[in-house]
Amino acid sequence: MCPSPSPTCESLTRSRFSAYGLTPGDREASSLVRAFEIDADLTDAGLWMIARGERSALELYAATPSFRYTRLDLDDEGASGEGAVDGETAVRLAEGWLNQFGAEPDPSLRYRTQGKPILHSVTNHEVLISERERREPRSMIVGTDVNYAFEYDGLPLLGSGAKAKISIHPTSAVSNAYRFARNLDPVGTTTIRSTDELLERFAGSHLFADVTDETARARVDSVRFGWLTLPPTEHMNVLLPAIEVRGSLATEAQTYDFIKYVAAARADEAEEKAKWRLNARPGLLIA
Amino acid sequence: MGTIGVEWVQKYNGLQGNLSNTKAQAEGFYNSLSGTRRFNWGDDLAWDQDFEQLGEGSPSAGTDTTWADDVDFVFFSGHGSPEGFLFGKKLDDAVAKPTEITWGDRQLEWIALDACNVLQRDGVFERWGWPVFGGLHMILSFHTTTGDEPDRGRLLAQYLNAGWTVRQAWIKACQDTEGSDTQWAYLRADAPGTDTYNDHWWGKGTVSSDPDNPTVLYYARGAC
Repeated sequence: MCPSPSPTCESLTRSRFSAYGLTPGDREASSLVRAFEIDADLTDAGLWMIARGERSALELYAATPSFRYTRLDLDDEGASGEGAVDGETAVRLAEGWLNQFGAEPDPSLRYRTQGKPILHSVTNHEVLISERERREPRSMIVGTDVNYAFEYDGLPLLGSGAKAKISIHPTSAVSNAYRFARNLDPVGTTTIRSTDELLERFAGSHLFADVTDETARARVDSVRFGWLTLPPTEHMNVLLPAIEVRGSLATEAQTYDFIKYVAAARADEAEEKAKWRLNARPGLLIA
Repeated sequence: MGTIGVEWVQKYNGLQGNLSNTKAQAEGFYNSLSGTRRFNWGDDLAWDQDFEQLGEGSPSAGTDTTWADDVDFVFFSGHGSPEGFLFGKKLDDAVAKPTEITWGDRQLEWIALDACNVLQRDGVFERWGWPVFGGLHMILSFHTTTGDEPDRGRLLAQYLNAGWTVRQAWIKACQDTEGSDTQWAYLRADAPGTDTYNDHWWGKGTVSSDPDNPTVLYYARGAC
């Protein structure tokens, strides 16, 4: 299951890892709004505090020290007809934005934040236009997305709750950007399941409950060990060690891909509750 | 006030692998969006024919005018592929295929197909092109594989309730719930006098008139 050589498998030769608690951010919201030069008051929209000006908006997540910036005056589908900036320029502009707004741990926080952003990929925001009277659709690259991931203790933060993206508009402006973050605080150590047990959990999961060797074939393409983070809207106060399994399942009718997360540490829900650990066994995770 | 319907499949009865979070995902949308709830069908009560046009395909038992095409916004959560989205009950052939679909000729404005690869870029207009859009404004889905996760429907609804446009709400909900390797996608139609780019949920901002005879289709995709 683990290709060799693989940092994932090397990681799993250890059975004990540091455990990390998570704390909500205490960054002053209004100072961030001022930094983005948004002329609007913050309003409470439940999961977010939103400052929405004429030109741009800032959403500050209530559950985590995460935020998203959106330009409201730029077209997302290439109406200006300008070409996208090249990847190198996009990365340079994105690094500048991160240095200004989100690369380094916030010194105002009492806790350590997750590590520095690591460049993950540069991707295109593409639009295809098909008009009735034209035979071939037109393709336009209307933005360049610079995507960042985070690692902590040499392990990746998996899932959607710890990442950053800066979208560069053809005008070179940052049209959209977010930084989804978690504040980490060491709380002891945790024992990790063996590789055999993890594979057993995955093979015994609900995914395969109704298929057999005669009716389906599963293929695993990649496995990563890391810390699972939930969406930035969701409270969690402990990092969840997990493996991420990507692959495909072929049945008689179809072949389709899957992404699954398997809990790498044993956890008893009652014990977790007694320790006031929120979301220690989320639906996303195969227990 | 807008009307809402959801369908979801967790138990595929051996036709596909099972899923774990589609019920939570679809019902999160159903129970959070400000609107009138009309139908919520899951597992063996979710059928491909609920999305298909009567008289199209073989068998041609489509009933979309009673279900999918009789509300304003539908959310489907289950397996998918570029050829369609998949069900666990084989009444018809358990696949809702674009060749058997015309939406919006009765009511439907927006549909979220929360399933892998449905709006895969290559050949998207050949699969989900002109015949599908009979007044429908937009299809929200994915260019790539996506996770079996429980929160996206609720977050989509909450972004819509907060007044973001339909396409912005979808992109934000996908960014909140997927890693950067996943790519969101949408397909929308426009015609002279329509503006589906700026569509909002009913009661939350402008809503375009229906592009009954669309003259242009826009496909967009990007990293989550």
